[in-house]
Amino acid sequence: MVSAGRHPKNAINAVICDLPQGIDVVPIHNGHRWGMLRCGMCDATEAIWSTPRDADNHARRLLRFVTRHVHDEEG
Amino acid sequence: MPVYEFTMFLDRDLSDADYDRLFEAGLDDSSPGSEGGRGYVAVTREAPRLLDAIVSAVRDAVEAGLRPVAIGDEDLVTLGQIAERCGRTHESVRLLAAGRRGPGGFPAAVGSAKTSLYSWVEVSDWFAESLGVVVQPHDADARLLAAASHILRARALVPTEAVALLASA
Repeated sequence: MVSAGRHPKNAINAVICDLPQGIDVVPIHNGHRWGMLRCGMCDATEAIWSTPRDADNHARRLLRFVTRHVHDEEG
Repeated sequence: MPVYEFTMFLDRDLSDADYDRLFEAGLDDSSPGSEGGRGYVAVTREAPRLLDAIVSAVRDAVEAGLRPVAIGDEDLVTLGQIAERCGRTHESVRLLAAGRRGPGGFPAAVGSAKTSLYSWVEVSDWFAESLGVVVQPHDADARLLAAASHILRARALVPTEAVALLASA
């Protein structure tokens, strides 16, 4: 049983546990999505897979989402 | 095999069911999302060539019932990608980034540990200004991505047969 707050892949967990203000994780646990990242400023979202093909690559993608939306906040 | 990264922009927003269809169509190596009411798929694909990565990712999206209408490049790159684009070893670039080799002042990374990313625009400027090296091996990839994007846009306007005929004229 996987807890609601912790992703089973460490690389992904490292990204979602260190989110800047304004970006949060919405749990889904339905189908292939474990959850999604959501930007509180513009409402953009990106899927967090439960079982991505490559966890490191997926983590890097999620980090890109975070970086893009931190830039949005800074204007 | 090299790993290629680009973003496919879709003709509409994604429904809950679309995410599962994309995953099952083979885009479990990618990250779909929604921005400004439009769906996109951030692709990270292992393939022999960029062309193969683009063609297979577009086919996967079409199989999932979605239509990619444009393709965008990625500015944020890993140290490994920087090494590839500069024709240096990973270790050489790692030492430059850490300031243990070269003049220092390498652009700061975002993220930490093995998920560190660097802006390619900043890094390529740094190579030009600090080392006097113009790094452009990325150019061919940028051209191919732009061409693919134009073709997808054309396909959204007219039937695929017309695009094929125009491309072969």
